[in-house]
Amino acid sequence: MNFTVHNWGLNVNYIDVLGVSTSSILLVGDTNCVKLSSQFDTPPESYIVGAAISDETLQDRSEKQT
Amino acid sequence: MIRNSVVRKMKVNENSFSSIINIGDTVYAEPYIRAIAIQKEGAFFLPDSFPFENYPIFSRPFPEMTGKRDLSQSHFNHHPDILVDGIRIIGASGSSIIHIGKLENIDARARVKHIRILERDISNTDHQSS
Repeated sequence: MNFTVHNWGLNVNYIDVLGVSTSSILLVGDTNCVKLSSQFDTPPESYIVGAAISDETLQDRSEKQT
Repeated sequence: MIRNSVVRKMKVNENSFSSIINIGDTVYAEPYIRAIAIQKEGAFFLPDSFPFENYPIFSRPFPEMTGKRDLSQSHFNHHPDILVDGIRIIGASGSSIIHIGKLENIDARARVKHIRILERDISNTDHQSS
């Protein structure tokens, strides 16, 4: 198979973007290969009620309070 | 033959957290970000309280794309320029790239962990009494 591309004129008037976020790209130009991957984690156990952060933090905290 | 990217005017309000605005050609870009975003009631933070090692998301491998096939391809650029009159961007964040010009290869990876921490819930008793 032969893949043939004809790029005729490309004229863009205006690009209005709110945000380019993690692992994203805004590209004006040619490219060969684009790979964008992202892992995002907000599980229920990330929602912590109470001060149980880590032992270290709790120790520091109690030291400061005393 | 590659095309020229012609941008007449560009305005970017904010470019934060290791993002890049690149004008010119690039052969290879490999941006990577690890982030722990903590929203915590009671602004009391200590450094190193949240090490990346504590969370498996930062060591979990990314699924790799396999089975790349070489395709015989030919490109004909009948016009030497890509013309853009104007670009307005409010913000670029988290190792992102705004790129004017050819970017041959990009392999971007991001790992983001969100944590919410509330103070011990005392509002429950209030609700019950009212």
